[in-house]
Amino acid sequence: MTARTTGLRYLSALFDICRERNTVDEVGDVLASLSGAMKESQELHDFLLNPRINRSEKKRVLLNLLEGAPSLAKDFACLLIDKGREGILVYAGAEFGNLLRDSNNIMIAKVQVARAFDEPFKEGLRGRLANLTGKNIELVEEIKEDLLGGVRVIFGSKMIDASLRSRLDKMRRTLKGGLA
Amino acid sequence: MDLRPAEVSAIIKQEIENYQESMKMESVGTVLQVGDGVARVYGLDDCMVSEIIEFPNGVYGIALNLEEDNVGAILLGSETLIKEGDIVKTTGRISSVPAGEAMVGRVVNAIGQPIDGKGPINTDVFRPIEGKAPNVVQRQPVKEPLQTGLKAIDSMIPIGRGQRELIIGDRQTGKTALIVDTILNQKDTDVYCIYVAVGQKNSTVRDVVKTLEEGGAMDYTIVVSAPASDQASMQFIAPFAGCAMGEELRDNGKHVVIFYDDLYKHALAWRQVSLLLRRPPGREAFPGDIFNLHSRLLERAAKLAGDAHEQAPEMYKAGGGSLTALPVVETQEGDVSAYIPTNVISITDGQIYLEADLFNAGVRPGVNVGLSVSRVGGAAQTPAMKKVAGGLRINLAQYRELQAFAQFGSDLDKQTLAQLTRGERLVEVLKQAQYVPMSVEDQVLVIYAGTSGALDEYGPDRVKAFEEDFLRYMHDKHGDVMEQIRVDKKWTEEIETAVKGAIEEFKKTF
Repeated sequence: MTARTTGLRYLSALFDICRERNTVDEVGDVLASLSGAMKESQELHDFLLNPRINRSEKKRVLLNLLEGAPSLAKDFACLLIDKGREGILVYAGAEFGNLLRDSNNIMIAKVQVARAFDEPFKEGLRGRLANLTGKNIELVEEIKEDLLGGVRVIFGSKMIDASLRSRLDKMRRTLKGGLA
Repeated sequence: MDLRPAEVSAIIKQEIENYQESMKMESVGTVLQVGDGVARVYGLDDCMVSEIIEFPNGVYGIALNLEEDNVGAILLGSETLIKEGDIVKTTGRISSVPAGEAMVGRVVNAIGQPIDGKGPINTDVFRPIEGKAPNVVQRQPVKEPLQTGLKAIDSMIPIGRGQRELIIGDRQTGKTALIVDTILNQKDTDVYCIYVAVGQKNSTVRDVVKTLEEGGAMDYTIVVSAPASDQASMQFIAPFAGCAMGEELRDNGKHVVIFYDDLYKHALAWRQVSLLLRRPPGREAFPGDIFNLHSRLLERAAKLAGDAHEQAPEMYKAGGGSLTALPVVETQEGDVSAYIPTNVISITDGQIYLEADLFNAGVRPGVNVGLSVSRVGGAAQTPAMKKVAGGLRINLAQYRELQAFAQFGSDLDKQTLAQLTRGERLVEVLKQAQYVPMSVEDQVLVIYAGTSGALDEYGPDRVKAFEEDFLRYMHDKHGDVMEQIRVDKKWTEEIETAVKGAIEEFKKTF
């Protein structure tokens, strides 16, 4: 947990600079693709996190990879390597995205459904959630067949559960009697 | 229990028809890590301390650590049913247990679920396991006696209702036996008993319950069991759960005595949980709040003021109730100056010190009279007993002192010899078999026989027989005197003369 907190400090600093220079989207894209690459290629991940490989070597590889990227992104990556905090790169994309959404007042809502649903429903849901939270909603759809039916929406640390599965669970509990 | 399938499906049908769809926003988090009976949960923004949180598969937990971005919780169920990434919900309820008179006669686990196979408990009273102790004006001094039925304790270390008296001693010194005797002695009184077993062997708890059942004591007793096989979290909350059940009865004007057997194992369970939650360790690796843990538990023992229900009607339904706490602490190798024993000694209003040497020498109960005290119980002692047993303590102290000299075998003067003889008889008088608690009047008569010197002419080996025959004789021939002591609870000159005469009379036949 502590490591992630440190990472957030680096990323929010970077985010502030990007906003001043108006390069938030470009840098965000680079970080997202870099994090994605590290997730996909175990080799790259291991190479960057291996403490036995010296820093200049790592920097050379990274700069090659980031050819054509904004200089701010390159500098940030090199700084992390100099400080020995390469681990941050793993989640930099996701966390930078969160910062971007926060500043744009956008919230991700995870919608779990048993079967894919249609566009009007999505629109309605988005509107209702926006009213509820006062934020613009970005829906992420997830098919979960064990819900059986209904829908479950998770946004932030809140959840609205209207799935058949949870109702059955609740019924089972009332019938069996549980902990008070 | 008679179950018919048709009935079951009828109930389910009814349940489905009456099912109210209640959709509400819930606060959720995700499991970051789980293991060793604790879990760390990310999210749960509006979680409260000591709130019950719900894991998947019907496992519940109690939130104890609220940190910057995660919540540390103890699990009250199997951790094998939970995995990383699972969704956790808050319930909005503070951890509580069922309470009320319906619990009496039952054996339950630390969260109040029955484990005696006698079906569900019909109660809708629930009480938070952490409760606020009554304040100064809501209490009154201890004034009624709590009879243990043991001569050695009722005469010299009297316990009053609402008192906290520690039972301390090594393993195998009769601590649990003392508890069982005390519970058996509450038969036909208005006192309820709660036996909380923490970290005991399941077989031991089973034995205790069986003994209580055979003695007809389960009719007024609740057993809360968190055996050694339960998780540390269950062992940690068991005393608080038992206390909550006791408080419910106390606040309704009833008298309750609760036994925590034992708080040393409770401290170990709390140490385990605290360390797993990464709270900093202190002395002997116990967490810093180990003293507070036991003092806030024992502080809930109280004798309520007669008008407590008028002062705080939202808390108390009736005044005058009491909750007496008899915690047990097991010492290692007789070390009463270890961390936990000294803590609990300083919290309680006195201690009964059971010594292995005495126990093994056949002095049972093995109460060390010199080290045992009751700081408030004297005010509650029956006047008759107070009068008769007044000199007992000092007599025994002198006897012990002289005993050391006598071992040199030198010539002793007459007075010393007399004191030795008296002491030997008194030690015999205070011995008592297990599971035979005595009534106050019986105790008073036997102790009077000892302190008045009536036994001096018989050998120590005949004291037991004298006691038995004398009591039988008194019950047969002098029932009126016994009745007078029982009802008036006083020791008048008139009674003393009558008893003295009776002893002389009895001696002719003995």
